[in-house]
Amino acid sequence: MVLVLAIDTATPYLVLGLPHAERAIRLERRHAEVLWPELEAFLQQTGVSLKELTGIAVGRGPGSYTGLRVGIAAGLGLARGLGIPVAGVETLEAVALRHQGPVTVIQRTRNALCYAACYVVEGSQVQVTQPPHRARFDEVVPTGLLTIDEPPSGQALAALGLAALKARPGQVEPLYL
Amino acid sequence: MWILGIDTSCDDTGVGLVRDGAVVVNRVASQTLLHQRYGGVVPELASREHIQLIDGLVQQALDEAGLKAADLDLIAATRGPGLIGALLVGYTYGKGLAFALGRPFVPVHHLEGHIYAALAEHPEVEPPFLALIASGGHTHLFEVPAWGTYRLLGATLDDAAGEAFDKAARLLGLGYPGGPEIERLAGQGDPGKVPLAAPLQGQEGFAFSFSGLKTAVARALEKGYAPADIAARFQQVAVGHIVQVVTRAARHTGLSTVLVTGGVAQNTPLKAQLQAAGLRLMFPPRGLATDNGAMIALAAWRTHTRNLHNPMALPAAAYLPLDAG
Repeated sequence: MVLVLAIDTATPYLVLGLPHAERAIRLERRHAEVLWPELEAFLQQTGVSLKELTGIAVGRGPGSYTGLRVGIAAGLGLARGLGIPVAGVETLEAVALRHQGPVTVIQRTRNALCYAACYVVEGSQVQVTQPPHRARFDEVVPTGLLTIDEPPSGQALAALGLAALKARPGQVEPLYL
Repeated sequence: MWILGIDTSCDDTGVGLVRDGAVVVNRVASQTLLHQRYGGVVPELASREHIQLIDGLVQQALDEAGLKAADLDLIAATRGPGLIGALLVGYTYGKGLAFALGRPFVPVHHLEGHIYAALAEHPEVEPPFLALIASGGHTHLFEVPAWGTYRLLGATLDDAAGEAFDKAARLLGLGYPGGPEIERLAGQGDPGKVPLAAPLQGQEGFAFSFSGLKTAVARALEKGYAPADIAARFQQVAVGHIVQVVTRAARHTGLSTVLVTGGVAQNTPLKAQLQAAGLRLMFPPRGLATDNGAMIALAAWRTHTRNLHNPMALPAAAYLPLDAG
């Protein structure tokens, strides 16, 4: 059986995901320390043991450079220790997958700036209509539903991870925007 | 017992494997070339390199030793001090590895790594001794009365010793890292031709200072002294300053064994003058002198019996005094 664990630290949330469960905690910082007890609790609560995992998905952002590297480093270490593959997924895509139809995803950063991207979601399929980019918050023209500062969906991260593990295994390079 | 050690505190990605206290693998991916054109380390660039390199380097190290990850008994990584974004890569990767394997994770102080590197080929040496760490990021003189106990005698008040070499080299139009470049140019110069005052004269403590020296190099250049003569004088004064403080500390503490480590420890005149001062010197073997992962594994080998409460919860720290805990 295929079972992907997802980790995303690109936003102020720590997001952990499995195909059937997620845990999203708003932290601002300290992702690097909170990650481990939260991961342990998440696995316990979902009844999943590390040995059952077949792949790791990590959020490639965009987001705080240092922040997203924490999740990627954790994912790489876990994958190496478990002897399973790792792949990167796009954080904003997993935000969009919380919704249906046309979605504009915004993650605000400092100084009235943000990361923005547009998608069209149909069922579990997502189509990119405008890829992630850096923009002034007040200059983004949203299409469809607008979501601001929402964490990525843990289940969506895991689902995207499953596809990424097939298409781009080992590719975890952060999106530096 | 197999220990994996990781160091990503600055601009080198270091991964080492130590078996029962002996270094088996020591792999360092140097970023020197990347940072060379900026004349110093660019933190964000260093972090980007670390995240790209770390996993491949660990795999290569395991392959070289003929090990699988599951054969590791302990995972150690540098907790600090260093560039926080850079530290977090190796430190978090190490935690992930330990978590996945169900093995203990050992946070290591970077300077502790340097100290144990100097003992890699001297298993017979026991405390008490002095430890001088002089590199691009650190200039610290410790008294080590017992294993795992560190008393800071003195540190730099401004620039690190290696930083001073880098900055002086840059002023003189030389490459990075500056230490070997200055040493090479100094060999062609006459230190007697340039008036350049020694730092902290008339003071009796164990502090170091190098920033005045860097300014003096700039002044000497403006006055038209030959770069080779300036390099020779700079090296003479910088090395003389370090030797003066170390010999003073040796007299004060009554200790004559000195571990000398960090990049500046590679400077030939420094070695010669400390030796001439009648001190018993321990240097790290060549590959362990600058930042590396093997020294972190060595430190973990010596200190892992210290019972840390929940090491996975200890955050990486850019600023981390060695003598505080």
